[in-house]
Amino acid sequence: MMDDYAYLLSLAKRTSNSTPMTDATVSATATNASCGDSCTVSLKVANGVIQEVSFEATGCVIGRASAAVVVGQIGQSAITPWAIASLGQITGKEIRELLGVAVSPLRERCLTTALNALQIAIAKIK
Amino acid sequence: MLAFGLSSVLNPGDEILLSPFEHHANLLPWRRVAEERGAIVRTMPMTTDLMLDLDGSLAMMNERTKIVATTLVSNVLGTIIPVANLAERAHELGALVIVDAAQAAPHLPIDVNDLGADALVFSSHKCYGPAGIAALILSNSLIDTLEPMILGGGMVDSVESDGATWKSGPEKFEGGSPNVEGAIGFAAALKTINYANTPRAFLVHRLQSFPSIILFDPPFAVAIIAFTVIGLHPHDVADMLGQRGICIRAGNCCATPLVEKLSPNGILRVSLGRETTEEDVQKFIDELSTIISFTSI
Repeated sequence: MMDDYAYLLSLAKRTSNSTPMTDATVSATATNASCGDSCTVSLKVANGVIQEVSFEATGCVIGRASAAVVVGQIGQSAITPWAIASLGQITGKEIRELLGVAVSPLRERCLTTALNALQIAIAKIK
Repeated sequence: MLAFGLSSVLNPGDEILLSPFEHHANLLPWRRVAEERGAIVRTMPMTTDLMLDLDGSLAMMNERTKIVATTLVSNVLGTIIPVANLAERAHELGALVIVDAAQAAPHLPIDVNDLGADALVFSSHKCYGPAGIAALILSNSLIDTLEPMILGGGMVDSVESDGATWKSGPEKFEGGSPNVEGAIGFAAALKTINYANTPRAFLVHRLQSFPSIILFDPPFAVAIIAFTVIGLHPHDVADMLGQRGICIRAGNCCATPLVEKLSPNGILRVSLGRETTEEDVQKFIDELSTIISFTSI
């Protein structure tokens, strides 16, 4: 278990230095009342392509580690319209599998807070 | 159920006074009833040492106060509320005193008359009994005047083609098939409660030794202790403890308005039970220490 938490902590640290994007095209915040988690996703979009992504995640380790997993799904390169559509289809089950750590059902919403924020932001892209 | 049953005593502008320690179960029904009747819910003040501000609370009571609803013990902090003092003034003003003793019942001997409660409730599952059953104690006058909230078989003396006559006494409020198994289990569980000293002081002393722990320690409290760990989310700590065989509560403990004043992400709460020993507490402290050391690397 401590190994699992060590892994989660290492993932969570990846989102701890995120900086807010001041010139985002769209942004969205999702919260998880049970843990007080909050994740804000900001996207810079040009010609239907995501050029830049910013995640600001606060809260529990699982919420912040999941945000890192979601960031990992986006990758570093520009996201095409096709890739944007696939991001919109990611499920909580996939995030759980990507995280690779057993999470109690009580923490289910911690897993999906960042994903919710991303998908709300994607839905705002015209 | 009780809140809705008492709604008829409320008129627009009347006031319901609640303590600042309420569990949602003794908060949300009163808000709903107040909304329906045009009444006002007011929250009594808390002192900086996490007790009820009695003087401030008494000063809030007036001729518009119709109901004073309070927990006897905070389910978050263990704080003991001076219900008898509240009841004395409430009754002078003609208000009813409703006491939620769910958290008090397993920790304190309760004398309903000494408290001055017009109604007192407590639940089985907090007393080591089965879930889904609770007790409601009503004053004689409320038993007579309160209309039954659940209608059905078993609570009527007679049913005519155009009306019905209720039974008298507690049976009036026990419509439908009774939860017999629950009642037997509840009664048996109550016999197992003992109020012997729990190692609360020992636990508090140990928790105080951690520089990274913020302890919420009211001066008059039962063996329920709330704390947070600086830099660690309460749910993460509870998760790790759970994996190591120690179950404690994390989060807002169904008392969000109170917990939000203590910590934005919730708290950790340890409840010491009838069989908790100093050895158990020491095991908990050892595991907590391991978690804090591990996560601070």
